[in-house]
Amino acid sequence: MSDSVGELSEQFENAEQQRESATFGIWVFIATELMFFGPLFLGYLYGRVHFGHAFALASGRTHIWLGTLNTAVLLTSSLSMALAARAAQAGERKALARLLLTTAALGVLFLGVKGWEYYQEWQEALVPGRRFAFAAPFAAGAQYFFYLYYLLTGVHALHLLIGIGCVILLRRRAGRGEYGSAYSTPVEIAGLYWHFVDIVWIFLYPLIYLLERYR
Amino acid sequence: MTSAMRAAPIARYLLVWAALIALLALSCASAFVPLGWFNGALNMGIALFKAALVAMFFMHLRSASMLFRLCAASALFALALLFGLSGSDYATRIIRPAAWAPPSVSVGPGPVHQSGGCAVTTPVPMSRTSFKPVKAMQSLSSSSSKVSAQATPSAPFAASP
Repeated sequence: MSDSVGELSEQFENAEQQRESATFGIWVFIATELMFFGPLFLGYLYGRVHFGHAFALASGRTHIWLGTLNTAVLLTSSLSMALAARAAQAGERKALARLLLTTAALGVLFLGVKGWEYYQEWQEALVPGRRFAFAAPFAAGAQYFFYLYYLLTGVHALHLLIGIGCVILLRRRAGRGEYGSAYSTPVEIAGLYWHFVDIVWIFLYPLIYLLERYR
Repeated sequence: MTSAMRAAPIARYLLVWAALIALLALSCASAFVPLGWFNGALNMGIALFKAALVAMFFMHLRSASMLFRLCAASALFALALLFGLSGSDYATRIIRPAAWAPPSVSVGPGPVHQSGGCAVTTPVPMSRTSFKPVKAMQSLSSSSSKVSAQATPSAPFAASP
């Protein structure tokens, strides 16, 4: 993020090229992040095929309503982030500040609910390790499921935490009036990162919470 | 980023959000209806559609230049490579076991026979003729003769240790 409003870095011919470069950069980063999450999803697919019933039983022990609430929270935060980027482009300073704060707050709410879920699961002895307790023939598969669950949601939560930090930083700069119709790139690219984090959760939600819920 | 995108009305974002929430409700509700394998397929389909909505409208991929769309497509392609190649490795470990692969835990098409030091699974009864190409390859290989005749006719090629 450049230090003064709308300043053109010398390697770029015009502002449009600078904005395109920044956007391209974040897309390449998002692609690498997809490579980061991808193998974890492959590990999940392996487990789902080889420990099918154990996975379904383990999924039944997750807290579906907390998970569904969290998904709605994250989808709403994506909305507020998209509206914030739009407000930045339109030069609506007050709306931008408000929407950035809303996005960060919803992100913090998500993390809070997730932390509460983790605490519940610790109490219910669903953390892989010495304390893990599950119906005997399916314990191995269930442990694999929960290992993946903590890894996937934990790494996702870390990404979300970094995103919240960026949004708070943007909020401070927006409060100083640094973003307007002439220069809104940081808000846009932070928005792209935030939407990616949301997309990862969109895929995580059914895989973790919705396996054979009808049982 | 075009100027047309800067004038995107708020209503469009709200509409996309409403669709996302509705799809979430559908996904959640359908999980409680016993539909067998269709549950998983439906949930994944809904997740894909939601991701597409977020990508197209929130991430502006619909009106973005080809460069960004290619970037996103390349990432998905690389992921497809991962799932395709690694997945086919895991999926065929019953049919064609690797020399040091542990036997699969629960899923298998039939009993496991020990043959020449490797675990080989007998598939559903197959005629001898279906293995003609395999036998031809075995005759070409430089491995010892105990491979072909002693192996059960319906077993896939058992690697000699």
